[in-house]
Amino acid sequence: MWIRRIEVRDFRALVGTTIVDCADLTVISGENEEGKSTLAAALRAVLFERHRVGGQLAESFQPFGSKLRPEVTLDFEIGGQGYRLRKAFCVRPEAELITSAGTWIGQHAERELEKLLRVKIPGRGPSKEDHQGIWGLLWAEQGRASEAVPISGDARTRLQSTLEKEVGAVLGGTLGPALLHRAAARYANSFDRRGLPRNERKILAAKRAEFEREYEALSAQLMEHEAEVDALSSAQAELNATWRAEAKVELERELKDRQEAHARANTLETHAEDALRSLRLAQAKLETSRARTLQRREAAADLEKARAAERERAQHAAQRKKQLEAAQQTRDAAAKQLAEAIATQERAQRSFEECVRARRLIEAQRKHARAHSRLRRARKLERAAQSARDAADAVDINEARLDSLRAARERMRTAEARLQSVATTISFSRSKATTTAGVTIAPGASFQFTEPTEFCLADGERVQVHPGGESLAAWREEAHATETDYANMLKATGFESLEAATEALRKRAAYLAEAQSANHQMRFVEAPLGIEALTREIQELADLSEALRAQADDASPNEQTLNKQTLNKQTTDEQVALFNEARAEQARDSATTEAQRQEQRTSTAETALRIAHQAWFEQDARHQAVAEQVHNLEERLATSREQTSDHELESKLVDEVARVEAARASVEKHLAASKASPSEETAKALRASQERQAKASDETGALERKVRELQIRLSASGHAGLGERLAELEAERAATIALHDRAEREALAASLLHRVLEEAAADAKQHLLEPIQARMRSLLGAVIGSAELDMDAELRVRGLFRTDRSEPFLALSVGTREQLAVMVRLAFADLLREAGSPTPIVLDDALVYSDATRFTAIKNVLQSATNKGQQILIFTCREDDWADVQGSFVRLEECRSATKPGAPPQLAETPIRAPAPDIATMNREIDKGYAQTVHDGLEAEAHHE
Amino acid sequence: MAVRPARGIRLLHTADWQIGKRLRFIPGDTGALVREQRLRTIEAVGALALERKVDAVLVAGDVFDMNTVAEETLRRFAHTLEQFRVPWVLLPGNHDPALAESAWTRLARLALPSHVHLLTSFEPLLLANGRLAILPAPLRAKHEPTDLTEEFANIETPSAAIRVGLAHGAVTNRLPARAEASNPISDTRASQAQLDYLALGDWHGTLKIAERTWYSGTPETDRFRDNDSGNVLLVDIEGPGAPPVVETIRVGHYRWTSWTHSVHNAEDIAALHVRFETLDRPWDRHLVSLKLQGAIDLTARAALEEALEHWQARLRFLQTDEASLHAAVTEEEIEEMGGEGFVRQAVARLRSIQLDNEHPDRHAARDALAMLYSDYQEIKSDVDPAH
Repeated sequence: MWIRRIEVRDFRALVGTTIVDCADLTVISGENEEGKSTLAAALRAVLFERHRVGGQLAESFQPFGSKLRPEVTLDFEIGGQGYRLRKAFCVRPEAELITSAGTWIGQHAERELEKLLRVKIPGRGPSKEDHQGIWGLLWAEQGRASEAVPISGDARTRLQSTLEKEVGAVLGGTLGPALLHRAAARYANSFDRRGLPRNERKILAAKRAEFEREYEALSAQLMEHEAEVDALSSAQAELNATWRAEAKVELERELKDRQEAHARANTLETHAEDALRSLRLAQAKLETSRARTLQRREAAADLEKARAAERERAQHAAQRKKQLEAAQQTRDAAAKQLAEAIATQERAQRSFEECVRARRLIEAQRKHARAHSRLRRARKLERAAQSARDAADAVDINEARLDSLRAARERMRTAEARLQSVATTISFSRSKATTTAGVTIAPGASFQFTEPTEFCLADGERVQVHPGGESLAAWREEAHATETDYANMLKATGFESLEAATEALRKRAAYLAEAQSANHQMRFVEAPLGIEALTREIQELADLSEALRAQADDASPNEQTLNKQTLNKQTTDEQVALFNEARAEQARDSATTEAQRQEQRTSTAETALRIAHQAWFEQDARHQAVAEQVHNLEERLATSREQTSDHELESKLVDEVARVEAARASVEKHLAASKASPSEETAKALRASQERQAKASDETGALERKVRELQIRLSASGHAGLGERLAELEAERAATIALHDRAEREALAASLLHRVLEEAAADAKQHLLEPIQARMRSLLGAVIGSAELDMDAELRVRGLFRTDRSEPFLALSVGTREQLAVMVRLAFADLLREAGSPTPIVLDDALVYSDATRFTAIKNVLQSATNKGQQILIFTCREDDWADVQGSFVRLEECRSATKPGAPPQLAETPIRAPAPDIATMNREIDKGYAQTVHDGLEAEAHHE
Repeated sequence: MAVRPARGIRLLHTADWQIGKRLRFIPGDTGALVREQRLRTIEAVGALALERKVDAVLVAGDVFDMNTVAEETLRRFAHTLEQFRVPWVLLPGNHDPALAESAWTRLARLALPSHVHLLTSFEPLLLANGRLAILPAPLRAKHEPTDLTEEFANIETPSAAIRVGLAHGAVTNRLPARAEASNPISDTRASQAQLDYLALGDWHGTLKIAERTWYSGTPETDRFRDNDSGNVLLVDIEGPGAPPVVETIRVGHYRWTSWTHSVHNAEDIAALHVRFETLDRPWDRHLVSLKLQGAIDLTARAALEEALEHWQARLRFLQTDEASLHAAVTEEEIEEMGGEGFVRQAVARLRSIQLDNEHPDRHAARDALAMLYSDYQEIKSDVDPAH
């Protein structure tokens, strides 16, 4: 493709018509905001966007704030054939593709364009990189020049097919990827991401392991079973062995012999023991006989001793008896004296109580009389206070009211004084009295006027008086009101004057003082607790006196007499009563002390009596005991002698001694016989024999038990059919192993196939890159120096190899990145151009970060590309930077025509300079129903709308 | 059919029933069917014994495949014998030696009917009203180093009785060396012990050792070995000293066959079909072990798979061994599959691995090529359904 001309009308910032003619290397320059980006956008719109595109994208095509119809016309050549593409957007959208074979309109024009440019114009929405094919790849958009070259699926396919044309069909067409895809799917079916088994492989492996475990377990059980069968055989063989029976017979014979030998030894020992027992019996009897003789002698001696002691105890008892009787007498005398002292004490107590009562009665009577006097005085004072309060209450005035009265009078006086001060005083000098207006005017009289007054003088003249300069009515009214007020207040108090009221108040105060004084006298002197309390006190004193008299009456006749005498005698004199009381108390205390002393003596005598009684009692008991002991000893000795006399005892003792000697001789004889064959040895031999037999029996028993146990166990385990189960399991295990082995084999094959295919594909792709790498080596050498492009099999730029080191794309400087991106585009474009598909490179504000040296170098490679026939469009705002390249320089401002906005386009002369249309091709397209003529296209559009 | 001797005796000689044996290389239901057939065949033996009015059925060892058979198997076996009221004379063999605890002790505990005789000791058994004396040599261990039949010569029997020895082991000098490893039996035992007939077990094929010494073989074949198994022997003996008249009678249900077949092209596959078709009908009584050898291309491989699947469905069991069968990919196939591009390279790589006998992945490479070809065919049929 070769762009010849771009014509833009009313597109965004390019209002009016702008026409740009393009050469091999076209540098389109302009100031900021002059419309360079708009021109680039217009070019993209006409190439990639649907003419009926709507929404924000379509609106963005219109000049800001207008409803104009953006329109772009592009003249281009492909394969030497000229084309004109025109698209109008937003308002009456239109698309038109004029070719040498005819004109395509509307969607047909766009379909034709898709075929021509190998792009995809989206059915709806804006165009994206994926749609733009190789164009998007070779177009460095503004602000994205330093990004890695974006490669869409279509662009990759096209580049790869172009590369394959150059290096051969290494990718295997559609079949290769399909086979690779299947191989990958096979691999993924058997291996997970970590390369471990999955799906059926995994299940089979687990199943196999499970079978192995079960097999191991069952084998172990079976082995155990077989071992037990062997053990059973051994045990049975051992149990039934011949030597066992012979050994049993031998053991039984030996046991019998030893039992007999042991019995013999036992008999000898028994005889020796019998002789020993006889000796011990004789010795025991001798001891008994000796003991009895000795006992008899001791009993006689004991009796004598007891008798002497009994006598001594009897003397002691008589002595104690005498001491007891003396103590009893002393105690009786003391008791008598105590009774007397108690009687005296009681009498003294009664006398003292009488004296106390008498003294308390006198005191009560005196208090009673005194209280009566105070009551009388108090009542008198109370009455006086009440009279004074009544007199005070009669005076109906107080300080407040008096103060009000004083204030009223003061206000009245003030008002009058003020009125008088403004009154007009008129003095008459008439000689005689005249009466006018009811007023008699005495000669020389003066009048004060406080209100307008008219005098009619005798001579008929009239004199009018107007006091003050103003109306005094208000002053007069105030004076009058204060006066009335004062008079009313006086009247209310009932006093004639203020002075009378003042006097009355003073009197009231005097009455109140008097009442308070009387009250004080009563309250603080005569009846501090009040009259009621005083009255109660008097009553209580009277009651007390009465009670005391009654107590005196209740006393015994003797005492009554005494009391009455005492009372009578003592009522007159309280001092005497007190004296008597003190004397009686003293007498009572003396009597009490005496009684206590007597009680002490009696108590001492009692104690002495008890001790004496105890001493006698104990002595008497001891005597009785000894006497009883003597009696008992006498009886026992007598009984004993009745049974065996002392003589008989002595002769029996001699006989027993002789028997012991005989028995000892017999023992010695039998012991000598027993020692010759000791039973311990025969017993030991017997035990050894018995143990051997028991051991043999135990062994047999153990073997029999073992056989029984094994038989039971084996019967159970045989019942389980272990061998058959194992065989069955083995069959299942073998089947699983076979399946698993097969799955493993398949997995191995799938893995190998996948790996081999992947490696072959990777090799092929690397081989495919070689044409690009060759071009890039040349470009990199010219601009950056010695470096190798790092590109993956998917044609994605990964970075650079420099000095055997890989530098990722993003690790490169921004300047190097944009240079690398431009060079990759140049390499792609060169490849395509050589393959017969030249495609322009568009650099929109690219290479702005390059230093001067690299910038010059890259300009050179661009220049050399254009020299080879590569078209390059450069949009820049720095025209001077590009001044030294050989190409067409287009200043945007110079391309703007004066055409008014909205005016119909002035199409340049159709630049088609193609050969005659290829009618045969067109016919084929029509036959396929894939294209329409202009007329048909219009009709279809109308129908669609 | 031989006529029953008037005064002599008639025996049915069989051995190596190996009840409870699992055919581990035949999985699933087929394995169960083949296993079950062993009892059915014993029923056939029982029916034959009744039909031919035999005096005893002698089973010369290996009645059970192991002593630890399942209880159910044991009881089903006992029930099978109970149904046929002929004297069953059973001898322990090396698979079921009369150990302290064994299938025999278990069987004895089942209270068998009186016509079932378990010969677990060397005590002779007299049958047919004393006309038949059976001298047993039961194995009491899996491997007996000595000839247990030596005792036969010392055992006296009634003079009118026909002496029949019953033993399990390898007759010396008459069998392949590996069969003689243990439990030896002298090849002159019959004459040396004055036996009228020596009924032997252990060798699974029917085999005459001497005029009076026979292996009956197993009545139901259980392995792919061509040694004339699947028979029982009907033995008529006129009287003491008379030579036995032995008739071989086929009772086995299944036919076990194995052969090797070379495959290189489509003709070989056709020949394989023909070979299968020569088998007796019905085909479902056949178990076949087929060893394949040769090298086939991917197209022939598909045809072979088809042929094997065809016969697997018809036979009771088909076992194939393809270890010696190699995949050969033709240039046309590779050309067709690889065309151009990296697939061609991949195929070339896989072939080189396959042809490298030292390469550990050579078998995997063969399978991988087959996979690749299968994928290729599928992709092609997806693209072009007519393909």
